[in-house]
Amino acid sequence: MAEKWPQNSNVTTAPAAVGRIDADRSDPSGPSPRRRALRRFLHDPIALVGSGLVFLMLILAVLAPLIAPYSPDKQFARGINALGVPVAPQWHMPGFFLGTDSLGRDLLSRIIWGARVSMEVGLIATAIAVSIGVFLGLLSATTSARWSNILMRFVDVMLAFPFYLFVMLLVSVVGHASTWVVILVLGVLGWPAMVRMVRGKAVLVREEQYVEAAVASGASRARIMLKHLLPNVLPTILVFSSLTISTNIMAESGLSFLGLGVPPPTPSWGSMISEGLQVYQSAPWILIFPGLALALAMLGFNLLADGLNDALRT
Amino acid sequence: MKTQQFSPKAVMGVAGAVMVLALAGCGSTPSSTSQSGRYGGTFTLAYQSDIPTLDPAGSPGFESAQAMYGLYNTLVTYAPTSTTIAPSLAQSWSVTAGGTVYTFHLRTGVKFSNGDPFTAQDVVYNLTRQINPKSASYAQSYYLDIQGAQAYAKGQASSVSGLKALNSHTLQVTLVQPEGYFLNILAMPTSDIADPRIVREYGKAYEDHAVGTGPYKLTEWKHNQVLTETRNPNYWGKKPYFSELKFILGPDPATQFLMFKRGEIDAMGPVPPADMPTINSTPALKKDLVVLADTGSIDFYFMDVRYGPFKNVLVRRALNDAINRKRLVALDAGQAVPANQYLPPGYPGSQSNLPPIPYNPSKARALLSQAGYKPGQLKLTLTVNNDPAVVQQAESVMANLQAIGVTVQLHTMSLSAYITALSGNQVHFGIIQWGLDYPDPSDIFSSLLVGAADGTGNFAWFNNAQVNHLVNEANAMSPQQEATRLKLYDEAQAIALNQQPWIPLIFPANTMLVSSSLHPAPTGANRYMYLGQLGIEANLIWK
Repeated sequence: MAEKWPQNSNVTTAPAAVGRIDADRSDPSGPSPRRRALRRFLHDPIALVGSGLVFLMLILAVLAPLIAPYSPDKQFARGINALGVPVAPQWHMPGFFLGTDSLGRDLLSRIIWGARVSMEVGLIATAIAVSIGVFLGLLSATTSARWSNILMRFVDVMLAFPFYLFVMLLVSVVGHASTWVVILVLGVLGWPAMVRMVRGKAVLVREEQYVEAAVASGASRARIMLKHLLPNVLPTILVFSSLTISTNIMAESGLSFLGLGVPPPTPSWGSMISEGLQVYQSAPWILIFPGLALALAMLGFNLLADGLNDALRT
Repeated sequence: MKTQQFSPKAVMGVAGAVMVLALAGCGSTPSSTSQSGRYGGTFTLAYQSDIPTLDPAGSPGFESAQAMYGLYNTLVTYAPTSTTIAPSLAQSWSVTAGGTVYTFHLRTGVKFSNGDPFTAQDVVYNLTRQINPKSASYAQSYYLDIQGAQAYAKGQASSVSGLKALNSHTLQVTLVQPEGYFLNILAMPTSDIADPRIVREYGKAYEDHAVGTGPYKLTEWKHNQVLTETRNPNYWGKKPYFSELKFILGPDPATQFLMFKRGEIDAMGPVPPADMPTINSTPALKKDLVVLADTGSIDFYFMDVRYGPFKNVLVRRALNDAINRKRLVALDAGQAVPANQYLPPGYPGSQSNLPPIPYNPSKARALLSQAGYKPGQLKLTLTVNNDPAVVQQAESVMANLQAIGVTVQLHTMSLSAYITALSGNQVHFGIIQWGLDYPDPSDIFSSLLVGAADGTGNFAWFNNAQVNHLVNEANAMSPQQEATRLKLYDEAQAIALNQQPWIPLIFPANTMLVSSSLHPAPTGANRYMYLGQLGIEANLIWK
């Protein structure tokens, strides 16, 4: 669970920044805060490397059918020999650029298609978690102390569960694994940290005079939540989402590694790593390349989060 | 793969469903003991998990048998490297009354490792214990053909009338009907003879104090850590070479492989297919590799013949013709034989002249369209346990079926969940990895292909009147009519192979690594089912 929100303190201990956007907006002489954030982002090498990696992964995911040299499921007759030994990386084309796996499938194609699974799970599961988290966080910030308390204690309970164990339990309960089961489980379990983050931020904004003025003039709760609180917590949401995507990609790989995630033959980096681990002495490429892909994807989203955090000064 | 096998009765047992994880490994430390000459030294083996039990009535499976082999004896056993029954605690026996009455003349002067004398009453006690419902032995059904066993099992009798100690060294066993494989059952680890005095003394805790008549005695068992057996000074047979057998409990096969390479264990097996390339490319390891081809195991997929598309024999034949079995052998690092029948090679009843099942996708497609399925129309769910090698095998089969226009969804689950699903009849197309409990066709046919009913191992629900008749007839023949018996099983197999309730995949070989500081190297014996047996039966010694 700890790794679920590693930047926690980082993000929440910046109460001074609350309302910064509004404060900036009140100064008509300088560039808009959005523009300044963008400028900071574009001048931050870390942010650029992060976005580059994320962009690369997204391209691989979206264009997998066009980029991948072969079908990820095609088991080539020449892909393994009679003793089951896969083909080592071949540096010529056409061939198996990153070698083949134990079933004689082209590893490069599987890694490219694996990006699709990783991105699907990472993005959709995060979208679910963030939607629930933001809604409940804002609700908690605007509701009565009693309800807010109940909700937050519930969040405490959810956070107390070891995340991976909880996910594994849920996947086992559902019975058979599929990409959508993984997405739903990660989405449904991923929101509590988000609630806390959003609430912490929103509660501070709620005390601002302009919000009080809006309340006094009879604005509805929905209007307060959407018009006044949401824009102010948006930077936090962006940063935290990026981190959550990386966590979810890792979680999917972890589940697939354990055989609880995306079912074969759907290519998943996690199951490839699991296979690679068994044969790393004789066919190290099956372990190394999917591991590298996973590491790069996670690095990308983490660096992006870092860059966003700096640029948005959350 | 061969890393796990269904023990037949295991699957049939009610609660028992003990799947035998044959993740056997062994090894020993050449250390200083290797200098001590012909006798002596420790033979060190490793297992992935704790030894489940040392109690013959505690449903011992494959791993248990490995450690029990040194501790116990059975009335009869197998001649080294063969499937022929040989004397052990029973020196001789006679079969009369049309094959229903067995009279065993027991070896005299045999003592248990604690000095207690061994008598015919002890055998009666042990076999009765298997039948006693309180023992909940998965093997109970093996003994129910003994006269009076059913009544005793139901609590209608206080003893088993068919088990009689005529005197302290003569035992008479009466069966309700002849049974061609009864001696095979007496050679199973469940028929090991434990010391009744110790069983009574310790009750449920017996296994920690296990005492038998075997070449070794239990000296230490730290659960999940180590189990040590030392030479039994009271042993009646040939003195074993090693003074100690040591089982290290816990390391997984990958760790075992590392331990073997470092000389921390003396033998291991089965070798995971993933390690085979390393072994093949490393001369030092390659010379330690022992491949025993005839292991009496088969991997197959069953098709529930009552279920949807599987009702149609054309579909079942199409699926059989679509499988590239050579590829499956390659996935097993070449350490297997493509299966062309149900009886494993080298075992009684196996037909050596049967042609391979051809890999013929176009014929398979034709059969499918004959059955009324257009390409892409047939959708199946294949269920397997999530052992990596099993999943890989399944992926290869899926690609083969995809190629003939059959869409297969793979459903994987943990081994325990899979066993539960099997017993709950929730699997219509799934895997069975079967290791013969005893070398006789009845172990395949009676357990898996007849008597379609809940709670049996007939997961294909194959119910062919002719096959049922032939198998029942063959089962009830006395061992003296061996040739006729085997012919009946052969006829039954021919019918089954025509009806194809299964997709036989491969007969896996047993691959072991045995330290080359030991000799002689075990040869193509077909009965080294237990690595623990190596140190005793293969007469291994330190160089």
